[in-house]
Amino acid sequence: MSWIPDRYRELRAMVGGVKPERDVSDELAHHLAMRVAENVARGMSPEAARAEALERLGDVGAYEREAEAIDVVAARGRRRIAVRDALGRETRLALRGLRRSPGFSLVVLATLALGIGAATAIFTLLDDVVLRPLPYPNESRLVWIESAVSGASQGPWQVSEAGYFYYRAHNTTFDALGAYAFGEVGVMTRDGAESRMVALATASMFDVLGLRTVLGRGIQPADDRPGHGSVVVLSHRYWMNQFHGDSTVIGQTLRLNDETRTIVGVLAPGEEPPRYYAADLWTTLNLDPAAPPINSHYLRVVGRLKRGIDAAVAQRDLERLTERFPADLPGAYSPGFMAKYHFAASVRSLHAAVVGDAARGIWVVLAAAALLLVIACANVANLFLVRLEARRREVTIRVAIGAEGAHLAWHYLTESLLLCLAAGCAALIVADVAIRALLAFAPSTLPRLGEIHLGWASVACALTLAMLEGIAFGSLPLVRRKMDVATLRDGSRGLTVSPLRRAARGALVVTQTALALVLLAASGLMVRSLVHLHDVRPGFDPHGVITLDVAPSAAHQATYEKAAAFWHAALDRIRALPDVEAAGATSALPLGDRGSCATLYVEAHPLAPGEEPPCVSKALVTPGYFRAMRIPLRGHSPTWDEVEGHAAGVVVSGPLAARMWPNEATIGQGLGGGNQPPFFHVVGLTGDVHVDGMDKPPAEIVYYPIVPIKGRGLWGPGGDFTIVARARRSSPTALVPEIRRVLRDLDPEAPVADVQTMDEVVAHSMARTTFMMLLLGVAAAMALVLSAVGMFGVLSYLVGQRRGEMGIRLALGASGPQVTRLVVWESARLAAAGVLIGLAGALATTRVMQSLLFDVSTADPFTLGAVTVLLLGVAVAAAWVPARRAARVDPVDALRAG
Amino acid sequence: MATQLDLVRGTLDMMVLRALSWRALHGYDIARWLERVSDDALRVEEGSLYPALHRLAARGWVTAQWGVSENNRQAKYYTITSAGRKQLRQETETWAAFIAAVAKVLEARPA
Repeated sequence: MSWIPDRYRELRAMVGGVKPERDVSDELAHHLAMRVAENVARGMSPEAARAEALERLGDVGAYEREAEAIDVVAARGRRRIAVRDALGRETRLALRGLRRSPGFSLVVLATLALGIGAATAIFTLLDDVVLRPLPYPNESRLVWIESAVSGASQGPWQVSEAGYFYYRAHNTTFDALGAYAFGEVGVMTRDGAESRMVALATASMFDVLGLRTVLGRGIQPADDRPGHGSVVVLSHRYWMNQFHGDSTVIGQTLRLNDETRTIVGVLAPGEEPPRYYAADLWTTLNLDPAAPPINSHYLRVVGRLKRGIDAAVAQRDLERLTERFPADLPGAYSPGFMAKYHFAASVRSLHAAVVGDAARGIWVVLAAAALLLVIACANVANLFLVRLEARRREVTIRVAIGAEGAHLAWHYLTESLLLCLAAGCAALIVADVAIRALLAFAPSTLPRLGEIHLGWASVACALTLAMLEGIAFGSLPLVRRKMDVATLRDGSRGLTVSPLRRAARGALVVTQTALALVLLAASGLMVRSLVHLHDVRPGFDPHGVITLDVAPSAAHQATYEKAAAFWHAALDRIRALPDVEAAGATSALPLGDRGSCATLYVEAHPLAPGEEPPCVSKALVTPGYFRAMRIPLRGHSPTWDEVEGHAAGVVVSGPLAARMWPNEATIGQGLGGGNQPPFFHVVGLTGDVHVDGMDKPPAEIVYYPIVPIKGRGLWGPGGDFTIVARARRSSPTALVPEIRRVLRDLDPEAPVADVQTMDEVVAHSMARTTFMMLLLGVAAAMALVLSAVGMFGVLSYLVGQRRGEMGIRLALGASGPQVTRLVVWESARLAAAGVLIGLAGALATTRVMQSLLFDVSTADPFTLGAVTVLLLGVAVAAAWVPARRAARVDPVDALRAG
Repeated sequence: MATQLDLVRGTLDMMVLRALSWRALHGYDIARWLERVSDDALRVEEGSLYPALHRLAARGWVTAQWGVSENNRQAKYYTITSAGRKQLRQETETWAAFIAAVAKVLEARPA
């Protein structure tokens, strides 16, 4: 390959710096010497001759520099022209080559654009969601602090107020700690009350996150004193939407839940709490360090580590402090509690906490996109090989009549680079469309959705992939045997394809089939998960139910009686609407995110000394709730008379009853949130209801009435409730305007939010699985099509090459169907090899998906069997057309042409 | 007495091209030729010939090659190209027209 050094030198001359030829000084020296010699010949002394010669020359240094500068500029100009000419020449040549085979060019372009585009879109998702640092200064030093618990309760808890202050006062590893919580508040506007998400934060939270304001200031320590807060900071979004970016907003007031607060600042765009929700408004937590400690863990705590401290060290520091809770915070943390829950501190990087589960899913999808790209590349490689084959005679003739192999190879490389770079640009368009589609379908639980966009990293990704492929495909001719006249002879009369070349093609198809099987298996598993999720009986009937979150104004939450009166009146009027079949309200909708647990004491089974009561899910419900949700009930649910008479019992779920009273009748048992009588009495028993998620086991839950029995407290009075109303015939959303009218009549200031059908709530709870299935499904479908095309292409090629052989077979008496079978068998053989390798690959790799699946083993035989059959079927189908063509070969023709 | 005209750069280029119009020369040859044909009336600093030669080379009017001079020294010889000849023809015409115009003005009678 002698052309490489030549081209290399040419390239280096084009790209490298310009070195002027240092010959001006030689010229001047020559001039000087000649003049001196002449002067001496005329009789001058050597000194005088030299002096005269120098005088005639003038300022030699300046002239030398001037001439050299002229040379440098000229060389630069020549190089520019050379580069432009070379680029133009090679591009023109390559374009001419590509234009001669438009079918090839278009198919390669489309295949690569899809492959690279999909990979780029998913890479962008990964980069923006998982890899990029969170948008806070000192992001690497921010950590998420939780209370690790195990045993009777699921998952980590947040941090208690007492714990937060204790950590803050005694830690040795943090620069600062901040805490926040979320709440929904009713904001009074000219159009009535609206429900808004508010972040309640300590002043230190603004410091820890480094939140920036565009106007005014953030929350400062002076605002965050125990008692009532008086300030509010607006998010940039809220400021733009509600105040249209009015800069005189600072100092104005806002009415939040009947409290008046002064607007002191507006945050910069994109400043949000790190986890869970976006906040429209920020107010103060106003925690009191002197308050008696309570065992309630609701604060979300973020810490900024001291420089040089890592999360593990901080974790040990906080664990050490947590061990002192029973001694220093005895009111809230008994030794029994600590032991039972294995209560400890947990510190992990904020980035890990935010990205969390999403990372695994996105890596899986990226792997899928990479496989898809490999499949696409296998197809394109095949196309290039076929094209090369087709050109073989042409090329051999050219070489034979003196074309330099070097120039031909160079030409192939330019052609391939040009095609792949064009595909890379097209891929950016594909990626942009794909990202828009992703954002439209992405579940809102995917973190950092707002940060996803096609950026420089994406462009770099697409163009790098395109470049690499361009070089790879362009180098294919180099790995092939040297072309000489012998090839010409062999190619023109060969009846069969050389075994090596056949094996290479076969390997491409086998690889493709194997990878397609892995992708199909992965998406098949997601489909099965989703089917299983849909098969789960939720324990209620979601069809035809509308839900609305309502926060009654303070007047209706003053006492239990007032709250009950409000809800009684509201629900009676809603039920009286002509299209409403049943209506009720609950504090915690199944599959919603407002569930919480409460300690539970059971009258029949007093705790042993030192034993702690379990924390069990709870919901407050009004009469009518079970009927509206169609939750089957044994016994009865409390009536309004019982509720308003402080005599209502509770309803419990089957799994709870099975745990608490395994061998006794459940109805009539006593229970409560306190250890002392009087107890609530169980009056009703539900079946299995999925409250925490369709993929979670049926909940252990107690449904309390909204008014306590005499002598007991409850978590009230009031609070936010969700109305559930079942439509009689019409679509449930048609009920919304009438329900809103009823609420406006009763309480004009009550904000209504989150209006959605129960079907939507159920779908939302499966959003992540649905999204994964969608992504993998699209990848798998593309993979299937691409491998079918690949199989078709290779078999068509093989049949074309073996025309002579087929002709002989037919001439010797083989029947058409026999020849057809031969070709189909070839295809099946290749596909079977691919499927076997793919099955092994799928078993090995889909294990990483375990946590994304529901009720399906990664080695699910049904899924693997189904995709195997599908792929084999597609392979045979792809073989059909070439096989028929083989059977129709005219023996005479084939033998003559061969 | 020799008048020393201040040579305009373009004029020097034109004269160098003229010098090369018969045969290839090196810088010193050109200086000598200039001296001889102008009867030493046009005194240029001989060093200024070299930027002029390189300038002409950059424009593609002359090409340069190292060769051996009459007394066995290495010297760079300049050869005029066809583009250079064309340029010389054009400039000579322009120059003649200019001289004629200036002469007319200088010989004019009072109005």
